[in-house]
Amino acid sequence: MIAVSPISLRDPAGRVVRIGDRILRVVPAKGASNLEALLRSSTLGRFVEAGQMCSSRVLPPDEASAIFPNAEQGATVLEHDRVEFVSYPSEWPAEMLFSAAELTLDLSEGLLDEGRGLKDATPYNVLFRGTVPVFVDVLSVEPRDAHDPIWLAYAQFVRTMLLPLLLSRRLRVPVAQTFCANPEGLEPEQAYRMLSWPLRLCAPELSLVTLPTWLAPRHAPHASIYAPKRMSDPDRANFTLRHTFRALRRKLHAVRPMGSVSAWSGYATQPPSYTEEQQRAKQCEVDRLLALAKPTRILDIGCNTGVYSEIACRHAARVVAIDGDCAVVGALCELGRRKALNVLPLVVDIARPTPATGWRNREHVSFLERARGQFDCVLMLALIHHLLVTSRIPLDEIVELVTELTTAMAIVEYIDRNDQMFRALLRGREALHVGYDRNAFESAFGRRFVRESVFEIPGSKRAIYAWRKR
Amino acid sequence: MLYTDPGSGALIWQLLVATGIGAAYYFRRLLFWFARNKKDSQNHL
Repeated sequence: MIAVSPISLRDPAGRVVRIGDRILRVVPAKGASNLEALLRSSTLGRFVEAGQMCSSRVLPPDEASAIFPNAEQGATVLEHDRVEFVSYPSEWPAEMLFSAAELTLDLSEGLLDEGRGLKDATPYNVLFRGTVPVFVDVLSVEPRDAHDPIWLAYAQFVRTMLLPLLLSRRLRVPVAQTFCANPEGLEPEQAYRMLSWPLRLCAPELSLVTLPTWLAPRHAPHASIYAPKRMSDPDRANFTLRHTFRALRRKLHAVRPMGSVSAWSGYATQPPSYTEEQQRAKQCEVDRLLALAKPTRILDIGCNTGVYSEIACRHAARVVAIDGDCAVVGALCELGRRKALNVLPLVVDIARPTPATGWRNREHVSFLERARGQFDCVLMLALIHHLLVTSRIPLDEIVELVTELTTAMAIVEYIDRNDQMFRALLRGREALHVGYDRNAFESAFGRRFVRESVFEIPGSKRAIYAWRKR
Repeated sequence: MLYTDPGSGALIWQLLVATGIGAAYYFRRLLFWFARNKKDSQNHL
């Protein structure tokens, strides 16, 4: 039986479901005329051509009614081009949220000339192919009242894009952390409480946080403020709206991520555990193993700034690279963009991966559910000691996870407990890991995998193992 | 159809800015009108 999973159900204009590998959107009869106009829109066509919007096709009525026999009479079913790996803002570095915000503004401004606009401005409308943002919610586009100078999604754009970026830049609060605690973004009042007085009076904080907080009514606001505001002259409304988008773009650039640095930022380029020669030898071995295995989809767990993700991109069509540190994932995002790598960098701590969230825990699928069986190669380099010691995950559990994630192969770095970094992480807890050695490592992986090769990194207590799934 | 929360403080702020920009629109048109008239009168001379 094919699983049917709801993806989007909050928008009354249409719901999206995933059936097997297909992404389908059911649009009620009343939305049919808007949909037809959207599919003919030259602006949307331009974005689809540039790969920044998912393409859509209308299913023939007989195929649609076979899939949705209970759909309302006259409903239209759209099939969308699938984005290979779904990610959420709670997994993005600031650089990716910035790209999503830029795309939202590009689209809003582009649509203005066609007399259309975006009815919402949330990062959940955007997915990523590598580091390229793709707008996926075609029904966010609607005809706009030519006399209306107000963009009602302005507050949502500020809440879900500008304020998380602002806090990331000013207070070093990771975007991923903001979205974990506040899936719908931050209210200006929340940001106001977090900012110091001098910051509250700076630009762009004054117009994004302070003034909206001061202007917000203490009690429920009068309904009249939400009544449509119409200008007699449509040119004047258009001029005002265009200015609003330009002002939002200026504010977005004022909160542009600066590329933060963490304790792990220099780990890949100047690792404390390797000499230059050892590092080169390790890179050559990983390159050789991937060239032999020819995987198509690679998951690089604990990717750091992406030295091995970049090597992986030479061999596989798609690489998903995860790390719990937002600074290194941000750096990888910049690298991926600069070198046009097909790598999707995500802030995911594999010891505490993203849980399922949203309505009935079904709107946003957990990371493991999205990743399970989606990769034919898993890279776990210089990671196992962090899982064993810092996160206190038993070795057998680590093997079980790798078995779930890969369909074919795993390249895992063995790190001996006498290794300098292993000892540094232990901090006097040696007794907890007395049973961990080369034999324990080999027998734990050997239960689920067949060993293909071992490469001892010269002069170190580390080795690269290539395992093939039994 | 709008189903997002338009906020309150942010909406009031947008309304205030829109009022100011709306006024700037007329001011801009007035400047254009003066500039065009000046150019026309220079052409007549």
